[in-house]
Amino acid sequence: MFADGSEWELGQDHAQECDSCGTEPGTIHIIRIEDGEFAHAHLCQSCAEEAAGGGTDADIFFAVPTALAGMFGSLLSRPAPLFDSRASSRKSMCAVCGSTLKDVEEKGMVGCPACYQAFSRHIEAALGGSEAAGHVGKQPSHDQPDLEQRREVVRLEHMLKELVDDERYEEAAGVRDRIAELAELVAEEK
Amino acid sequence: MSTDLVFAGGLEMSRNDSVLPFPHAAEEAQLSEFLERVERVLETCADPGDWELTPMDSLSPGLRAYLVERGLMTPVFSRETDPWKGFGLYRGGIASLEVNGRDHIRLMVSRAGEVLSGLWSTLDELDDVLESGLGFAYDERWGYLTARAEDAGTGLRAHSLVHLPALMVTGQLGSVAVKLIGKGITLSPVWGGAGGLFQVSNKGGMGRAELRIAEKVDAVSRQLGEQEHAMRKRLLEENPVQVRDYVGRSLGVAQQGWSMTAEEALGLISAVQSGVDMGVIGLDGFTPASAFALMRRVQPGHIAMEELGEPDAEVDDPRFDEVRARLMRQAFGSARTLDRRE
Repeated sequence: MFADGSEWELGQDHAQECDSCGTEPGTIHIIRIEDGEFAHAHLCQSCAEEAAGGGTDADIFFAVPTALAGMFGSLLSRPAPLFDSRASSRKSMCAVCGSTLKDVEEKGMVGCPACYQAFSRHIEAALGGSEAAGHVGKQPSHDQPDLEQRREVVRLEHMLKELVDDERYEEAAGVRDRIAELAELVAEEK
Repeated sequence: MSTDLVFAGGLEMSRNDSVLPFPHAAEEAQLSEFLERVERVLETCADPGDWELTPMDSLSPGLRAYLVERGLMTPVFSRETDPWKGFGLYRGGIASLEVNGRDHIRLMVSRAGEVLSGLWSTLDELDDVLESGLGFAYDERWGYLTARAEDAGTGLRAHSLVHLPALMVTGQLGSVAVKLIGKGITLSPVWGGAGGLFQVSNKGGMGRAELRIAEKVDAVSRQLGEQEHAMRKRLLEENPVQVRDYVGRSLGVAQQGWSMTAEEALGLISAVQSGVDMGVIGLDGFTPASAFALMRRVQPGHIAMEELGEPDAEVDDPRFDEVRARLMRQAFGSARTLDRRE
């Protein structure tokens, strides 16, 4: 019913130059199955079209777009970043979940909803093209009045974990009390 | 326009809690708590008995395989049996729900032989019910927020299953796939390409509304179905002996085999279906829909659940191959090759 290795399983490919011409970025992941053997290649659009045209002897041939993980990688490894010249940009951190840009790059996934604000320029650049046009379609129909308090609870829970890991128990106790107060407030509002 | 080779279609919608880290970055306690919240919401917001939510660690391997084969569970999720992951079934299988997979929520509807745009209203209504109780991460600019940024926006993935053996064997699909990527559509093989089954799906969730995404995948699938029909016709005209030989031999094995792997069975069903379609094989009532139903019945999960009634049976059990061959003999027993003059 679902495609083999649905696209997210192929998401660990790292973007690179085209395996064929070596100059253009390899944006298309080609997988060829011949006599039961798998062969992989990362090709640019024009080399992929050429390879596909001559693929009559392959048992199966298919192509998927190279994943976001790779796009972040290629973006960050440019000698002169497009949008941020500060060397510290990779260390920028989400204030709610504590994910760094490096985490996002390595996993190919963002840490939490607030990461979209923290890394907005990077995500926009990585998506590029038509995706940058923004969202069109359904919108939520219910307000969430306790959103800020719940977000603060998640931020404090992350802080608490780090304080405990660092054995800073007195500060951790203060944070724990604050979490309990907020959680009570959220429960009351419901 | 021809839709008979579009065997099945499905819509999947990814949603997340407004503040919690996405599952890959969350603590187990946060995920367990979220699963409990989902359970409460399904009990209070939906009609009683509509949803049945089960922790993944209590589903048997056979049942999980069966659910994947029915299009109700995604393959990656089916391999994850952590207790904080949950699977929900709506009214016996009209829709399904994965909790704490790649995203907190993945809501799915899937049907054999129905266009995708017709499934949207069901998914939309179920999403409204969940949203009323859970509240989802949303941003005006990015839309619904997801663990993978390229899924953000509608969070919708539309996919259909198309039977394209003639385009596959003639090497046409590679160039088709590359062209489709430029249009935001991905073409990938299903079940290892056995049986010539391919999935057509959208790439990315932004810049287009839900119904438009479904309609686009529908349109591309129909076009591929038409190209496949045209290619079958051309193959028979240009290579009648080879086509009749291949299809006839496939029918022979399907009628006479006593042990068969799933891969082999899929290839044989595909060949016989193409033969019936081209008028080379006669088999009353064997439609593309019957071919797809049989392709599902010969899968391991279906054999374990429907034929053996043993949800814990190991898939390398030799009985699977025997049962599969029996199903094939029953399905094709009355089929016969047709002479050119008939």
